[in-house]
Amino acid sequence: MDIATLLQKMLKLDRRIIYTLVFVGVVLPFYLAWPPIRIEVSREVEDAFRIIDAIPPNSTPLLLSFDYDPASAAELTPMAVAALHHCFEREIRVLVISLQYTGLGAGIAADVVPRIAAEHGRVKNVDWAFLGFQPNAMVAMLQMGEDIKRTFPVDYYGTPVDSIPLMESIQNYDQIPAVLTLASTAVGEFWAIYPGSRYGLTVLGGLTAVYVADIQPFYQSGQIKGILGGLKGAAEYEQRIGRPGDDMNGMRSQKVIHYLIILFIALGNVAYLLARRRQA
Amino acid sequence: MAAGSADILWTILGGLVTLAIFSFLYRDNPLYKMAEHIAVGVSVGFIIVTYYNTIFLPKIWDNVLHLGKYDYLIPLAFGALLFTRFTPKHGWLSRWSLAFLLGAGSGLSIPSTLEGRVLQQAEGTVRSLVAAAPSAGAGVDVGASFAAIFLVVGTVACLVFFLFSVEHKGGIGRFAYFGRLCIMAGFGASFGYTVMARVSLLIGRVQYLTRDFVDAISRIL
Repeated sequence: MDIATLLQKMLKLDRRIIYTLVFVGVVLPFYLAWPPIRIEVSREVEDAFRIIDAIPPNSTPLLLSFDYDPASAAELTPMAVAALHHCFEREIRVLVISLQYTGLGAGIAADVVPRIAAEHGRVKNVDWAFLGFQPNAMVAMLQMGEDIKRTFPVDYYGTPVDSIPLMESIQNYDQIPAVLTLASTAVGEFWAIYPGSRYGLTVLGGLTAVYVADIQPFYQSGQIKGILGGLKGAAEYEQRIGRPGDDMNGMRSQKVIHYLIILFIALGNVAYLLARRRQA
Repeated sequence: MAAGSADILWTILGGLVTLAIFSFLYRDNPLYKMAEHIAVGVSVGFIIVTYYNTIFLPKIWDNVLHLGKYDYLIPLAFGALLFTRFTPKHGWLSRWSLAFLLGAGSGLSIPSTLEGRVLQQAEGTVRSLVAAAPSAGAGVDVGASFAAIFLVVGTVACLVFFLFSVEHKGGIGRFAYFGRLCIMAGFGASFGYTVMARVSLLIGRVQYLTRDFVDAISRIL
């Protein structure tokens, strides 16, 4: 069988063979710790790290917004975990909210935040608080610029926000040094457009990879001060805080799959061009 | 049942549902349909409970019944009117709520959108073309300056590509072609990020299956 015929057959390749190859390409790096990978921290991630790192310990809190649902958890939860480890290790307080419109982000936050806080012995409502979920992100963001306590009268667990010690000195964005939005939708952009533009809030974005290309112009214009993009961004942040985790293995799989897809695209194009030449 | 046992069961259930979803890659089947319906049902159930606990109870129930703030009944009524869409005879009433939502939404969003999405974005495009080096006195940052110039030229070229009142010939044609290349590069970057995102989701599930699920199975065997 000559190469041209082989390439012709590739055009009719059963998609399930490709699925199987992709699956094997994802799984093998977990067991073989191959291929070698070197994570270099990008400027976007470094900027985000520096802004969070500069927040004084036991002072005004980082606002951490879980603006994603379980479908994006594989990409964004590692970022949340890494950011929480960073904050709690440095005794930076964290104020958690969720503006993802279905409210499913609140469920993820309720699972992740107490677990990481417990690892570091950080006290609920003193070192961190979870104010819960609000629908209609734009309205909630604008209202928080006036009064956070009025936007979230009670926290996720039903405690009146007035009685939470962490909230004693917090009125609005003036007492928030930065927000890190973990977003899979346009909510990430909303943070830059509404609180960022109107109230001058420092916005950092932890975003799904699909969304990074859309949000990059906001970084270039300075409306978003730092970006953690997809699993790669999470791995870079883990690297930066000195806590390399599962995302390193994930990036090995990413490397294999990207090469595989590039190979398929190249072979598919060559086969297509050969087929067109034969028809001509 | 001990919490540990419950965790194991939930983990196994999660793994089985994941496998059922993956079975669609072979072909559509009843297991996939069942998992799909479970996912939708559980999501909707969670959403209803979350909205009830975090919106209805503190904002309506407590304010109206416990604090006597009866003005909260007005938004409640507007919200209830949206449900009239289910009856053709009274569906027109929902337009009042929609009109309020559209009006208030536009009023709140237009000024900030103009500022954040148009003015600041335009400003970001035309910043200084010559970038100073990060360390003081080190002169010009060649890479950053090239990027700034490329950004401006590329933006204008993309705009020219969509300029149809002038025929794309000669210099204009070549410039528009450069704009087309820039747009294709943008699509390529988006595609690359999309691949990374989708593979990330698969990695998350594979990690769950090969670690949590297998561990849970081994604990009950």
